[in-house]
Amino acid sequence: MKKLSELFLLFEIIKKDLKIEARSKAGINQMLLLSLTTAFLFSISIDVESFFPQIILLIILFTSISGTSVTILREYDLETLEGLKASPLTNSHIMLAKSFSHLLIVLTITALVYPICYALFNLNGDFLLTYFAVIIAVLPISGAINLLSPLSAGSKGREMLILAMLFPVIFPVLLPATKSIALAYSGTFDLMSSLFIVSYTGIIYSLSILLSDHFF
Amino acid sequence: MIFCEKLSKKFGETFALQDLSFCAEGKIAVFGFNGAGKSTLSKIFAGILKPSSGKIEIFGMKPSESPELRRKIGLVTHNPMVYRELTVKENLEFYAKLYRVKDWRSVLENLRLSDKLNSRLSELSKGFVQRVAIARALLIKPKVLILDEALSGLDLESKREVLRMIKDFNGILVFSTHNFEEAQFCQTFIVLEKGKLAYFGESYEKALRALSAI
Repeated sequence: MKKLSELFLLFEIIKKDLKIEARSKAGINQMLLLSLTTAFLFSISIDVESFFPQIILLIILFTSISGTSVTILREYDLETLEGLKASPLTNSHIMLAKSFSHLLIVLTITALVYPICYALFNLNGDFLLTYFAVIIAVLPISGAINLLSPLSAGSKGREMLILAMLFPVIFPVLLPATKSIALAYSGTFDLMSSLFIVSYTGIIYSLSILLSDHFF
Repeated sequence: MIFCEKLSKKFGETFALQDLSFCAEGKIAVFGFNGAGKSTLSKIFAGILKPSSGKIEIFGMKPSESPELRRKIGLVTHNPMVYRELTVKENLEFYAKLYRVKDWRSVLENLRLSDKLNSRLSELSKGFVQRVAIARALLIKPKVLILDEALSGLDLESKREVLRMIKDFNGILVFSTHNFEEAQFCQTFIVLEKGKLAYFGESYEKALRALSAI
């Protein structure tokens, strides 16, 4: 019962974050603009179909990084983190709620951008299965950005710093994600790669929770 | 009851607080000049910061480790810790839900916020935003109220109103201020000098003397 009411508290933070994002639109606009520009540039320059998994991963990566303002960094910027820390919430609650807020926003952007990319790149593969593989690929990327964002709080070049730290963290999932998107595009679901990505995401989220006391 | 024993807080190699030991209850005033450690002490009381060494207990519990205790602690600092994109009502509702408080509207009247409920904080003056911050701390009906330079930004009338409210406050009050006269009504006085305890006692005059000797 207590765990259920704690989940309810996380939901309140996520609701508050989405409300703020819906009003300010700062993160969403930036993410949309960046992802659509990247998609448009790739659509006119190369044979996109053969590089589609890599391109869509690149777009997700850029989009997720440009959305770091939605992570725990927003609480640093608004100077509201201390208000949350003084509340009955624990640091792991705060970290988890902020991670879910970021994930939800990145998934929303993916839902908007993926069909546009599909149309722009003139693709003919399995639309839904590929979308499912893309969603699985979003999970570790968003999780890793949330894990690393508190470390960049004091830095002026946050996005660059997160990008530099992000690569070694998500390196193990890049190949399975590319493979699973490519296979999904041809109509085959790559169970092993997907399971690996989901398990790795679990490790990243667990690390976020375990390290939250040391982060802020 | 607030109990501190050899309480220290270090940031890097610098001591913000060093070897504080005292036991206090009722209305407590914390005096000290800039950098004395008043805000650090308030944050440790509120559970935001953990001490580097020593012991801090409020009602026998450690603030940073006890969500149950933090549920009873209201904190107001010079930084209002509220969301400017949200309305007054949304801000207060959010914090009320975090603290699981259902009836929070009673605080609005005293702080003259009732007619501003649907205004976004970004549209309000600094004084109003600070009133929302005070309402945020009071809506949980705290047993411990920590005010760290909380009256800055308030106009004279609001300041008087808030002072009247905290004088009537029935619990442990930790009142940290630069304006020493405002805290004259307190029963216990703590004077900090570069993180160390320069005075602890019940005399306002002695606290002022300790301050002027710094």
